Amino acid sequence: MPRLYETVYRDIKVYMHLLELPSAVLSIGDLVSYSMKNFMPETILTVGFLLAIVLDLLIRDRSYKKITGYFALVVLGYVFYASLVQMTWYPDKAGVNWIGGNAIFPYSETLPKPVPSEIPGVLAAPYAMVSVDNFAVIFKLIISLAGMLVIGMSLVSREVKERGRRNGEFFSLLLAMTLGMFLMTESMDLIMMYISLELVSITSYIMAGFMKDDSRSTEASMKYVLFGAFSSGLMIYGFSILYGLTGTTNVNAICAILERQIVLGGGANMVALWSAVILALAGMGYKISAAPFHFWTPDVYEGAPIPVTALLSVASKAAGFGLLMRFLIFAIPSNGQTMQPYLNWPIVIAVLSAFTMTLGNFAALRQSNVKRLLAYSTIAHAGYMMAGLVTIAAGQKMIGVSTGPSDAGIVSILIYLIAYLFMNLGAFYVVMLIANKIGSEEVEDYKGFAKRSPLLAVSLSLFLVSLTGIPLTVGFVGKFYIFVAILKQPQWIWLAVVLGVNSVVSLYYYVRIMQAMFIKEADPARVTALTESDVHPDGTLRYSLLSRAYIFAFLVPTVFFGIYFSPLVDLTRNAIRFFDVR
Amino acid sequence: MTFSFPILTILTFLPVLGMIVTAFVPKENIKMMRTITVAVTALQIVFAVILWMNFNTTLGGINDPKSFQFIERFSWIRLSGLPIFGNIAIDYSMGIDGLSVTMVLLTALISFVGAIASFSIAKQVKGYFLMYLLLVTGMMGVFVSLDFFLFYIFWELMLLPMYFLIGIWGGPRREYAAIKFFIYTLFGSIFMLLVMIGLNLTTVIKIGDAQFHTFDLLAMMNPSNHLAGSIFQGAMTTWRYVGYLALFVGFAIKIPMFPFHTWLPDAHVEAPTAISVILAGVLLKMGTYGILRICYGIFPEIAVATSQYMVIFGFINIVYGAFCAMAQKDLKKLIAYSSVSHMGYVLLGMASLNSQGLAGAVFQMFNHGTITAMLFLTVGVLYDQAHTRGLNEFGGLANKMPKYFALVVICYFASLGLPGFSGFISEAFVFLGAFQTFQFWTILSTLGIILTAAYMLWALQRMFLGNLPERWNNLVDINGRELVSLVPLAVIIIFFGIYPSPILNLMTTSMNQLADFVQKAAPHAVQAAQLVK
Repeated sequence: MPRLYETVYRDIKVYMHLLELPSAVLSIGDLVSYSMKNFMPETILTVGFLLAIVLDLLIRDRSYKKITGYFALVVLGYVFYASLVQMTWYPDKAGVNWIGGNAIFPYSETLPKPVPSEIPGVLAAPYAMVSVDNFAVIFKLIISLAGMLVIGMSLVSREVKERGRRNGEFFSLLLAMTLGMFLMTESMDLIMMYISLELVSITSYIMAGFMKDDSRSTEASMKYVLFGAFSSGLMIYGFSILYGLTGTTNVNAICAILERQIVLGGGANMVALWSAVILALAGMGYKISAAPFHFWTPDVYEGAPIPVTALLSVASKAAGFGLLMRFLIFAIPSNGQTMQPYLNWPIVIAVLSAFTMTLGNFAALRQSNVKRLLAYSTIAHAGYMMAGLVTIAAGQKMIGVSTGPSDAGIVSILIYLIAYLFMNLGAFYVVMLIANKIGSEEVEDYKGFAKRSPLLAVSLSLFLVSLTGIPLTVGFVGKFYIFVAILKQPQWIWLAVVLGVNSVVSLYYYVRIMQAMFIKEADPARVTALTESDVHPDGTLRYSLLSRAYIFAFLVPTVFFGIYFSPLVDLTRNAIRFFDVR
Repeated sequence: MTFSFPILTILTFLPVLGMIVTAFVPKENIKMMRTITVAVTALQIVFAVILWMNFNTTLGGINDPKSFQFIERFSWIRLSGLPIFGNIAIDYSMGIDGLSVTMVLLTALISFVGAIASFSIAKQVKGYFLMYLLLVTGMMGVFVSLDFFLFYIFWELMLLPMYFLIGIWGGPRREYAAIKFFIYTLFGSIFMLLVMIGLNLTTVIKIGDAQFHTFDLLAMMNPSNHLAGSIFQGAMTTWRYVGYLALFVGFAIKIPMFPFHTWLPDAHVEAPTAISVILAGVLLKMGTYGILRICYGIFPEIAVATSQYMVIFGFINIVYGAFCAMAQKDLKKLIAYSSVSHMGYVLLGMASLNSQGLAGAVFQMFNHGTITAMLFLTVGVLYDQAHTRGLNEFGGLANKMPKYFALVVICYFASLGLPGFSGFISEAFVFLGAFQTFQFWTILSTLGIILTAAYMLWALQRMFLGNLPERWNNLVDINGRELVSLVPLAVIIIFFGIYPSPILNLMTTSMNQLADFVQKAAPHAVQAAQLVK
């Protein structure tokens, strides 16, 4: 293979940029030690995963099993820190002339020396399995933060606690899943993409079926396996076509070779290319639960334990978006003059996006189970984020690499993901607390809940308001930036209108939950608590101080970033600064 | 004009302070919560009067940043960095001119009256007053904001409290009415949001050395700030039509303009008295205020080009609302439809685009606020005792409740535009202005006056004259608390009916400037129309 790359280097002038590597020829040992240094968070996760299993074996007493949870929390905390360190911080002024990112596990031991005059900006790590750039780091931060918050949720979850014997496997699987999601967001190679996606999928099948004594959970897991296997099968088929077209599995090389075929070689086989991309989209669309690959979502979200549902809806979706964006940005070449991709994928994503959000919202209107309702709402939110994705195509031509994303689009998706992290996890957390005590997730059973626990009712309402996208909550900021990104490209205004109408539709079902809690009178026949000791004499529910205080971990960011969102924008912009080439 | 303390911020956020205090009052201490709310709204009136006393009536405002008064401006969010994305500036920017000072006075007054009317609320009192105070902040904020983003936040801030106020404390069909209100308004405001972002992408100002996309309303009004090639740049372009219409629909839903009015009767009938008062007294005015401030300010040439259609909608509102009112058997529904009809006069005056018509429209906004507030309060007085509002169930109440009857006569007559009451002056101005521009529709619209007289007098006759049915023998006359909320309004209505100058003087300069500004943009409209031919 080296010969192929040498041709590509010469023709397209894409240069590997490894500033820390002094010479052109490196030993395998150098490459590995260099790679491992930048592979720190993933290494910690792997070791943590193994240690968690051992720890679980060492603890005999069932009531101490949750120590594994605290261990996992510490591991993820350290991983969060290790990822944060990997972030390159750019000075505030524009004019970045170097592109960040570290190639990990490059294929070839022969690396061309960077030629300064020819590098106004080059994407890092062109030919490696994994690239640790800021784009990956921001996703890693989101994912590990979601993981930590979910572990916190799991520690007070009745569903997890009741299965104390198997707590160890729950938390170790969570670490393995995090590892998979990390790799998903940073992989630069089709094989790596597929393997990391499967790692996430398989761990999530097991976690969805964690309550194996509950038939709903088992059903969820089974459905998940079937849909997952089917979708990833489609994806790997698409990848194989791509490999057939280009002879390589590296996305940058694919991009370069496709561009050469299209521009210089008198046209590529567009039918084959289209089928490859559509098939690949099937696998990624399934991970972000975009219609028409969403069918598993309601059943799995309803059946799985709530912390798992929360993790799937936020972290797994974020990783899916990371993968999808990386694939679309890096693998598909675009025209240097018009900035439009040669393959008009934005229109596909736009149609899918409109379809996804409309379907999610209208299906949610009729749901009576809150978990199922939130499942459909997450489908709608995937649609909103895909609307931001549409706009990243027409960006700016980058020298050396033929695609240039629009930073407004990427920033909007990243902001939305962070917003979504807090508000959606928060909503699931409160739903979990309610289910802990009343043992039900039916909207009917929420009637009059405001009187039974005002704090929970108010905070759930705030999360729902944020999910609707009403100002002074972080959800509004997310939606606002998606609108900004879309409106910058007037050809997509129809999508903004669809999104706007959808927000209004979504209000109806979110408000139904608030209506049940605040306006409806409690139905005396249905007001129950699982145990009598959970009810105070005045009818309010008893919650531990810790579980109540933990709400604020979600509530404070939801409101704070709603009022003052500069930090969010600065962070996400810094994360994609390396795309900028001025 | 600068002022030694941030009076607009105080006016806006005083209720939030009241909320925080109320939150710490124990649930049982209802009296305390009432006192706090009344005190806060009374303080607002004091500040509003201070504002009025110090207001310089020679300064126009509207599109001229220099002649706004009591300006407060702090940078809130500054985003800079990538040139592709653009720098964005969001300011905390407040200021008032002749248009908004009228509305601020109205808001302070109606909030106070509403607070007193809220005493009849019996369940979940704490939640009620928290929501009420939040609502007042939202309303006040809308009228003083000079930054579109801030305006939008205040605009949306009212939605949630209003939803709960109707939904929890309303009548039998409250859930339906509340969600209908919420969805209608959000539908309008989403499109407002889209236009707002479009305008932000269009408008660029220089802050320091850097170019910033701004949300400053006054910067948006100045075409020289518009970026070449951006979406709303130029004059009479399709996008400007689309933007104007999207904004207009968002505001028209709030007015409510036919055919977007159907939420109003539902919301009014189900809402508790105090909330009906707020709804009719202040919330509806936000729609017309938004059109005057934002639609006219930013898209003046489109406003000129479309005013001929606006006048038709004004006419439909007046006559259709009046006919609907005539058909009602529920007193509150009758008044709700009379609101639709009366807001039609505002539309008519606004469509005229001359200073008489505009001044008449703004004065009508003020008068409709006070008169309709009084109408709803009188309904509340009766409903609290009789627990029904059926027009045909009453009769002969005049002898049974003489003091109440006297107040009812004042507001009914004011509502039908009898000379000597404030409603007459504003309607006269509206017709005076509108006649200069649209003779045909104005003449047709005068039909509304006759219809209003018909349904108002008919209602009065059915309820207060004739024989008193047996079942109402135990009704008692109006009590002291109700007098406190009704009498000041009656005084204001009569006072401004006889001597309207204090209010008219406040807004004359601004309205002249608005008419002037819009008319100056009109040549563009003419030119573009000629080019098309």
